[in-house]
Amino acid sequence: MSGPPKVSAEELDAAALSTLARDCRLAGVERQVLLVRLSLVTADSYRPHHGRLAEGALEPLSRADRSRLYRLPGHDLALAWRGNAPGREQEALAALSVLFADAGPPLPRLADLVRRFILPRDAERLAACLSAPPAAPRAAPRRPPLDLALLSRIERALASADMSRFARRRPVCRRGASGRFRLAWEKRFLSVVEVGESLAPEHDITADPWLFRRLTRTLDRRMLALLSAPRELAGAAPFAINLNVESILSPAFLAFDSALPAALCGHVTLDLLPSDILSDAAAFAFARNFALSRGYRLSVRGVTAALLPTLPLGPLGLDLLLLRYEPALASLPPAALDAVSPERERIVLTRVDQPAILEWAEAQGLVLFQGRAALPHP
Amino acid sequence: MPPFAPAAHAAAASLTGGEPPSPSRGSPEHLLLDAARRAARTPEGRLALVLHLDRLAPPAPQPHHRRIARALLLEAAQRHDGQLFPLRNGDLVLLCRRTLPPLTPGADDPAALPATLARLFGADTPDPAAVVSLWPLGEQADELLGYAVDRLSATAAPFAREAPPFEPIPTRAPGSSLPSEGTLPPQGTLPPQGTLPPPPEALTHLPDLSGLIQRRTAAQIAGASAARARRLRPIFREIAFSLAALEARFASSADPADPSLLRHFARRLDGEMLAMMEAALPGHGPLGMAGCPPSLALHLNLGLETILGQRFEHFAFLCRTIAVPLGIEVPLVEAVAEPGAFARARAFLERSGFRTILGGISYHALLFARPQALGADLLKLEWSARLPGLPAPERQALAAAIAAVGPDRLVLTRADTEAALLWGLGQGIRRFLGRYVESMLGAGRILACPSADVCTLSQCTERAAAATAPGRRFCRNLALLDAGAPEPASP
Repeated sequence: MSGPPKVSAEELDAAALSTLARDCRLAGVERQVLLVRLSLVTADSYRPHHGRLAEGALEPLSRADRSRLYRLPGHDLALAWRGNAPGREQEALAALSVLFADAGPPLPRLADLVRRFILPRDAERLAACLSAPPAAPRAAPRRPPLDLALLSRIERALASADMSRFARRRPVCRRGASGRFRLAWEKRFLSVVEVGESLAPEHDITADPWLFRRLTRTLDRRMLALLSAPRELAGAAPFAINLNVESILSPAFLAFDSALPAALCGHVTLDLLPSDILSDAAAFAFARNFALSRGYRLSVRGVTAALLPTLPLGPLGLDLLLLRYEPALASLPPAALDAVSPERERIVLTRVDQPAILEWAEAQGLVLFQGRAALPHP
Repeated sequence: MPPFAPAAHAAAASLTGGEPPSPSRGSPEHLLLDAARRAARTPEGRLALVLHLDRLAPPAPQPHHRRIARALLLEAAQRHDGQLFPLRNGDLVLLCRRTLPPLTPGADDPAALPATLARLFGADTPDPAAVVSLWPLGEQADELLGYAVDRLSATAAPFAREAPPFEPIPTRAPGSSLPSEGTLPPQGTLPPQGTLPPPPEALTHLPDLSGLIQRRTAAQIAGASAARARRLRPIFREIAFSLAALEARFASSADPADPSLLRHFARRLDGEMLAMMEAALPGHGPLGMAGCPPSLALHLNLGLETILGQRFEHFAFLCRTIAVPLGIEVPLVEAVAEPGAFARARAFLERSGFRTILGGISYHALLFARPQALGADLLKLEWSARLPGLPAPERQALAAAIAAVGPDRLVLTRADTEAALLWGLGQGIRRFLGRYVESMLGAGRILACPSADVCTLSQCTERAAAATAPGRRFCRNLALLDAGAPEPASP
């Protein structure tokens, strides 16, 4: 079995950008490149949301002709496009100039933070920039875990927060006969990272697994309330949500069930964590039987290579298994997937962010994917 | 339609549009009897369904059982012109119209509800069909009348048991796909999910944590059955913070039903446990291993972060130095939540010559998953009183799961009764942890102890389980108490 290369997605993107620079130089093809060097920002000033804000700042240019975003090592970003797009470029630069408005000094100058290349003229300069020794890994500042007092404050804040600002969607796709991906269903979720950054920026809300588990139950209730709002699901595509077992048995879920449009009955998947399933397996069985009797599909999510032999789908009585891609998967024997379920339609491979991963997955007969390399055709 | 009020009379009134009953006859049992009499007069096309939640064995029925069952039956009541009576013993009674053949495609038949309910409660009772009665009122109206009379008589009795009240649940009008806005929990008004307890720092500053510690001794039975058991041998001593004791400590101020918080507390106490054990381990006290036979292992329950931390390295070094065979138990749920960390912890323990034990495995978990694939040396299966009465398919599946694990890798925990021991032996399990085997060990000590003339079996058993010195101060043979059982006689 040929496994995918065991390199990071960022390294693959860096290689792809180097190839673009070389091809442009050899063929005389014109491209513009904007490189955002977040790796220059010190660990004290950098926060994960800066990466997302930077991607957002580049969004105007992503609509330019032949545009492609490259996520590079050290959180650097590059966007390449064809032709002139001065308005969009100015818009992006304006957003980048205030990227670290919430961070303290020392910060790099904008001219150092954002580099501009015109290919093929600057191909060698870009290649040199990419081949420079990678920035020293940014030592993520270790933030303290939640404590009970803070958890209590977060729960109170969540009770009245507008949760729609944390709501996100992520497509799960299957490849059609044309070779293009089409949407199978959407994953709807609340961004835990953004909840943490918004309500407890100085703490790592996931660091204490048990307090985080408690917090996810609060988030479940808020998500269910959000989805139960009038017209929220009118015309919605089939979707999946993360829930705890206890949440399926809660009044909030009954409210959601009552509000679910008839057209979506049978098209909603409830994604459960393995540890939650096994923490009270009797409650899980009751919740599973209840949800199945109401027409929901159920899945176990976040399954890794290490857990794969532990969670066969048949005995669990679930419809789907969400298998998280990691290089260790490639070293598993093919029978490992058969042991989970011989029906590949019941396995969704997540974090399919590179074509090589997709290639490996399709060689295994997998047909359902979630990740940047498997986005639905517009 | 507004949400239903929790009281039965409100539910009945809002479903039928009738007048609320008089307070003197307003109990759900009175209402049911009145409705049963009316239904008996015009029984055609109606049926009664009783969900006997009081027939579920503890810990069921739990609040979620009642909540979900009530929602399902309330929906059937709405769809089929019915009434729902939540009785004070926990039973739910539905009176509604039958769906007569020919059924249109997609139409639901309330007569199919027993099958749905039996599936739902399949994991909570060995005989799910016994928790549902379905009486077509044309033929079996007397059954309903008799049941209603019985319930009224029972609740009129002194000390009648009351079911906990239901919380209001949202409903939707029949045929509508979206509820009116009035039925939705408005943003910002969701009730909290439970009061958070005081910070655990307060717990770790308590003057004495020993009351939270339990000291248990596991035994291995040699022999093909209990009747032919040749020898009972203590195999490990388990020292652990009791989640039940933790829950009791916070019962007045905390959310006692939140297992996440209890696990958080337990993990916060890992450091305290290691500190206590470091101090006690070389000695002869209740937590020491000095007087124990070399074959008796020490088992501790620790979190993965603790096992992979520096403090545990010191403790492991101490155990190696004084030659204490150590086993570390990790709850299955923690191993599955962090399989990578569990693999690292297991590898470290293996390199150190210690055993890894997966704990907290219910029989359901063994039916649903293959915990043996995580690679622990021993797996602790929790006894349940339901095990001997499992339906044949589950019984066979469990037997296959036990065979796949290997009964020699299993420890049956909570083995507090003879039934547990016999069931385990029947499965080929030989290792047991629980009060029953502790009593058996105690009986062996009593027989062998020259100072036992003033001791009872229960005193000896309690002293062996005491985690503090005062709990065993009246024992005059501490060496035998700590050994667990007398040395076997030479052949």
